[in-house]
Amino acid sequence: MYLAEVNAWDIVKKQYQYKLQSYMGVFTSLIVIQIIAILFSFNGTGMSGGGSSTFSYSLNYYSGSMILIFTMIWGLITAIIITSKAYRYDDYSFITNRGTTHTSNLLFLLSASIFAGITVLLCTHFIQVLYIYSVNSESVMFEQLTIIQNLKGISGTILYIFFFTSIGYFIGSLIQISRLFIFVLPVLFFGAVIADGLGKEQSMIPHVIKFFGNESSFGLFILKILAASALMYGFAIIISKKLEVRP
Amino acid sequence: MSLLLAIVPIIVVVLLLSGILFAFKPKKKKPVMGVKKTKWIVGSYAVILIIATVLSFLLPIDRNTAGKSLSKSEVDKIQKVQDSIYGSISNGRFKEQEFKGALIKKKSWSFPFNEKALTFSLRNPDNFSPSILVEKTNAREIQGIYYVGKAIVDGIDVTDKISSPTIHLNHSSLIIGNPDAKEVKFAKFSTAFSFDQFSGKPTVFNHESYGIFGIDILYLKVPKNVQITGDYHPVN
Amino acid sequence: MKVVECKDLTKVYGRSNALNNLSFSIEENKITGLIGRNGAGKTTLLKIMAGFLHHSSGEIKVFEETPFNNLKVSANSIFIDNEMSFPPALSLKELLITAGSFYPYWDQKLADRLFDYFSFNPNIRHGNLSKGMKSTFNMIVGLAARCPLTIFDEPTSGMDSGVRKDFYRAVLKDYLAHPRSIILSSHLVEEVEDLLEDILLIKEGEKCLHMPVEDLKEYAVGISGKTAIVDEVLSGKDIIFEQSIGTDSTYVVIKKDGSQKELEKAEESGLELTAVSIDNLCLYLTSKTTGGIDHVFS
Repeated sequence: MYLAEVNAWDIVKKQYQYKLQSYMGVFTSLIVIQIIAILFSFNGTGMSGGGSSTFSYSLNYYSGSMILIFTMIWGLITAIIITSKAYRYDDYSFITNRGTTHTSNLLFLLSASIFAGITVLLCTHFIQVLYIYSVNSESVMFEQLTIIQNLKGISGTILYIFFFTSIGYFIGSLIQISRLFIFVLPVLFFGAVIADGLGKEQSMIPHVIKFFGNESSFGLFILKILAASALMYGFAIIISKKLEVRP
Repeated sequence: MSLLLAIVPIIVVVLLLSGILFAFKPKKKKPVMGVKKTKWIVGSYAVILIIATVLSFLLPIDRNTAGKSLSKSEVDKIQKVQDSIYGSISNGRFKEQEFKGALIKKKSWSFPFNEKALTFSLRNPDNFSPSILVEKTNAREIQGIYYVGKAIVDGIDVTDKISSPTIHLNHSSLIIGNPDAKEVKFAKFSTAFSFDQFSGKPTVFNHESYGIFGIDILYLKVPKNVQITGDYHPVN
Repeated sequence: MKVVECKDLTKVYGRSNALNNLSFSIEENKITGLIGRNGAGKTTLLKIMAGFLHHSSGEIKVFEETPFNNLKVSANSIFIDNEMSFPPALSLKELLITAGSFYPYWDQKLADRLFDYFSFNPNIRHGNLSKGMKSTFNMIVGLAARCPLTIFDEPTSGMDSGVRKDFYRAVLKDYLAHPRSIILSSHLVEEVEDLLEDILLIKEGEKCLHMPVEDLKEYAVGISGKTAIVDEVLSGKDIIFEQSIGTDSTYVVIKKDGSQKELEKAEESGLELTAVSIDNLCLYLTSKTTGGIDHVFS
């Protein structure tokens, strides 16, 4: 009898390939979500106006932010789904252990975030084209970004989505430990939102949003997001140690 | 933007709940698309988006007039220069080069002039009353130059959307007519907040509309010995 | 080298022990049957071997390593049951190709031939198969993977008898061509006894016996006759099973340990000696009382 020696990284690569195929469905849901977001965004996300008696203007804003927010939520939900039993057990029909499962999941979610991040940018261009061809004869301004700004923007977008997948991965792992979290987490979330509404001072959620959203230094932003994502994935991995792999 | 911020929590909640409910439905009951079909759909989606992106760069709009977006600090700089214009004028000085970038030469006229006196009149002073600057020259003609302060709406340079006034010389009276009233609808497309965040532009979180607007200067060069009636600032 | 080695293996679920101080070892390249009643702990034991479950105490080594969460064990073993879960996005053909990309000793030709023999539609999804077809497909994966340790947990559930026979034959043929360790759990001993070399019989989480099938055939003897004579001959013997037949006759199964003489003596005194089938023996050995269901009604 010859035992096959296996290299963990080899197995991770194989699982990653396998997941790219078998989790392909998450990309169709991405398409659906982005189409919905495009429809929402097409109404404009705001307007302003002004002028003098000889010159007046009205300004309609169209932004890709809605698409990004939708896509971030897609990332969150995708990660939650991937931690569910049905998906976890699929791994155990072939060669795996926890380490390779987590690593290949992380790689898959990272790739999904990259694809989603790029499509977010492309979707904003799609809205522009849609607008030009359906609402004509207006002055249209495109925010023009330099190549560097574009690259930073794409990376930032991908990191935001990836961060949300890490939150989803953490939430999903909690739910796998106990179904109670399906009720506890929304209660905590809404509780925090309501508490924010009641209290005079802004509390946690706006602070968290500003912590990331107001960081204009690209380097610091990367640091913050990666640290926070690592924390989320780390917690998820620790939590999952309590689980039997396939009862 | 505030509209966006207002509906986001609602969308978040709805999507979150539906997503979680969807995620924990028994999987086997769901009809699932095959890998090939899914690849095909995702591929077509990507191709459509890429085509749209390429198209968006080839769109039949003049990208120069569409204008570059200016950052708050850039706008502040221009504002500062514009603020100095009036001070300069009241001291009787006006040098175009000093206000470079803040003041745009829109239009110029010249009329041969042999009269002894000149009267300005604004056709509709309630709606349009530019500052009129007069420089005495040796030429035997009247030259008019219309300057407009760089107009910026929310970081967008809209100066060339502003039309120029009309000037008619009728013997000794110069009649200044309103520019054509212009109403412009802009659509401003921006990328997601993650793009603004690192480019010094206002983000969703610190958004404020900023812009500058409304400097009109009519600069006239009038022969030396002409008697002028009307409101004006002598310069140079 | 021992493929599986357990020492005082215990698995606790809540307050009850699914496995209780189980000790045994399985040599390489044998087909072992894991036999036991429903709830005896067969599946728990196999899942611990496959590394799916933690054990509570004791020790288990598979290929000399602790199997839980162990990549080497996972790569060299495969656990086949009818709850195997495959992604619904992949067709059966794609699943076979995926399995082939994972398992180092995978035999694609064998997989394809079995796939055709059982006339699977390559484009169908695993979730849409009937229970029996699922088991058959899982079996194909299990055989073609050629893992040094192949575990089948109740592999034939849902299969019709024709497919069952084909399955056992396929296991045997492939085992002869490519010897490896195969562990097969079943509660239907009759079907598998020709296939097995060793039998590991467990009862309520404890080992009942572990021996070659050949030895098991000689393990016990059935004795029937008048109750009075039976009682007299068997006093002090290790009785495995006892059943009264009619009003004054009894059928008893005892362990064959004593000298041949005693049995001859019993035969002389009018008792009838019969061989006990492995199937029945396993049933008797794992029943809770020696009296069987009759005790309930007496």
